[in-house]
Amino acid sequence: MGTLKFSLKMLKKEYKKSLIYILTLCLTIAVTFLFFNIIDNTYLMEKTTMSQQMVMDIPFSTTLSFIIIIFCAFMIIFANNFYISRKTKEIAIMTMSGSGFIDTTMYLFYQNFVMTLIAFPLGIFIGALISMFVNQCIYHYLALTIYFFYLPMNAIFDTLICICAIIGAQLVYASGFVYRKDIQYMLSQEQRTEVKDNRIIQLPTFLYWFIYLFGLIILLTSPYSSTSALFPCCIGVLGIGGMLKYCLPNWLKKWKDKRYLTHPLKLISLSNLLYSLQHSILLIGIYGVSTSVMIAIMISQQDNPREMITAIVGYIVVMLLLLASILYKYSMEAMTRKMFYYNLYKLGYSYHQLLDIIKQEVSYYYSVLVGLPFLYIIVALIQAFIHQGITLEFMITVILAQILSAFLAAIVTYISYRNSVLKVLKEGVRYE
Amino acid sequence: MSKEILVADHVTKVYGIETKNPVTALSDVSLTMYEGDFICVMGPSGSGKSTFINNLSTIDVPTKGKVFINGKEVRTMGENEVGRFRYENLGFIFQEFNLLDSLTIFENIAVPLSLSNISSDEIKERILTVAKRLNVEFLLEKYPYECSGGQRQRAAIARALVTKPKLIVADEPTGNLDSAHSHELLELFKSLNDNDGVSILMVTHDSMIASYSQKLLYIKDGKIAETIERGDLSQKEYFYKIVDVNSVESQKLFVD
Repeated sequence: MGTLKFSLKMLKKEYKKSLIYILTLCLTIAVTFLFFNIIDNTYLMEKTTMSQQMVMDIPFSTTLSFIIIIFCAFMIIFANNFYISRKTKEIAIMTMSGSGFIDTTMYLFYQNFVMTLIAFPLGIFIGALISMFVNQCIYHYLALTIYFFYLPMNAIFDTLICICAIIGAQLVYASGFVYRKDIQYMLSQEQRTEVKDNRIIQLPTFLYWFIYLFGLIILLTSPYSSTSALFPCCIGVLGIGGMLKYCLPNWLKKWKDKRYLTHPLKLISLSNLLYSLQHSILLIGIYGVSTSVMIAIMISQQDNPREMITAIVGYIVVMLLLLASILYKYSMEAMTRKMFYYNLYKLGYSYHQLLDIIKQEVSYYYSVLVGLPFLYIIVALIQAFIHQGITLEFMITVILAQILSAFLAAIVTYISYRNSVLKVLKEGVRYE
Repeated sequence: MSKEILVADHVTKVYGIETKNPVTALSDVSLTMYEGDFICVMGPSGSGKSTFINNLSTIDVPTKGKVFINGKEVRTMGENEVGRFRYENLGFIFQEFNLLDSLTIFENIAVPLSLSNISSDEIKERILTVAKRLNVEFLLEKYPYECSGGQRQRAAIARALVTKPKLIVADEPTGNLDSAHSHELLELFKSLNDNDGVSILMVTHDSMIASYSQKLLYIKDGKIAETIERGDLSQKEYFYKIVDVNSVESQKLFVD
């Protein structure tokens, strides 16, 4: 069987894995298109006259759009890397069957290319729909009357170029992955659970708490300006990462041994929570820094309607993209936990107890996700409110957006997790 | 006369019943298991061994027929009642160990006890006792992926024994162990069976391992093809009988 045929066959067979990735890709392409639409929209370009010549100035909204597009590219690459890491068994079997380096790389490339071909038109369509509504909001703020269906055609080409560049980067990554990893590693990769401590300098754990609090102290004590929240938020995220990786495991373990040894649900849900947190530290960190920074940008652009609306759209899409990525990663990890829950069932847990374990784990996870940067966000918003930077309605809306979006993501995660792991209990398992 | 603990009455299991190609994994199988029994199940791959013990141990529900536990039919028991039966009476041991990766060995052993409403101090005490017995006390703070295959299997056995089960259900428990560890495990099973009256239902491919049992069920194509009772036979004589049963299929392949 040719590599192309085999890759398409496997793509079809493992459609569940691919479907979630295609959806993530689709959403990211839609967002990329939306921000290229802002950059390429001739009605939104700032025109200034300079010594008899018309000069195009680069407004902040364009810079922000550009940053978000780079962010989208990063998210696609991240999702793809994770997708590849879940396909290591296939790659190992191909290698064992005599497939060479180029064949295996092309196998991954074909699958990726087909998924992008499906996701691209869908993403552009969704992006176009969203863009038309977002454009109208911006026109409304700028008191412009523009045709509703106007979309800059360049945005499609720019998105296409951007996606082609990303596919190229993915091809390089895939070839590197295939080249570096041996068969033994790939066969066991999907079951790998350990989190390695790769620190060069092993800092005492209390230092991470200190860094987290130190950022908060800087935020509270530094003189207020529209951008004063940016630097302390970045420090806070460093603390959050360290706390998640090095403080929380010990703390949760002691807590479990002391209080929850006799609690069958919490003993399991807290252990799973720890695992899930440790395997998504990067995403949680990015969520923390992105949401805090986007909120800080929104605060700083209160007097500039166009920049403000771009920042609001940016905040919403960045938050949604990150939540979608977290959801994607969680769903993929959940697929590997079928036997875990089946074993619990054998040990005497009832179906409803297993549901409760999943519910607890997911709710704790999203509480940590929202809770860790929440202190910073609240302080930044209150400071801005006190110094007349923002209105009370704005503050409440941002807080609600932060909580409700995570709540919705938690519900979808719960449903997807439950369907992945507990279906087997109802259908029965056939070993032989 | 020993008490009946498990009765399978004309059990049939069909997988994919609503699909185009339903597979009958088990066909009209009956068995009565008494307290203190040590039964071994053998058979070729795909013969229905695992399906058989899964249906008997409440993990799976038969398509036809009935399974009685302590005189009560499993189907009439509520979800919580079945769950309670499992953690109070059954200890599962599997080839793949099936330890929970996100829990330490200590927590893994604690899981069935946490379901039993006993105090934290008693849980710790019982874990330490069973851990010492199986020589895993130095592994308690480790995660399963930090242990070797033999250590993981001993931890899985500790988890199965910590509730002092009346019945041990073992599916290829020696599949991932070397010969020395396999016989060490079987000696432990034998001691539990002889001294503590624990019943054992075990699936294996290894005739030598099967020779530790009192009764052998040979399953073929979802049916019990042969039953051998050890009775007064020595382990060696019993072993040869088991080898004979297992080699019948191979002997049929010889031309002369």
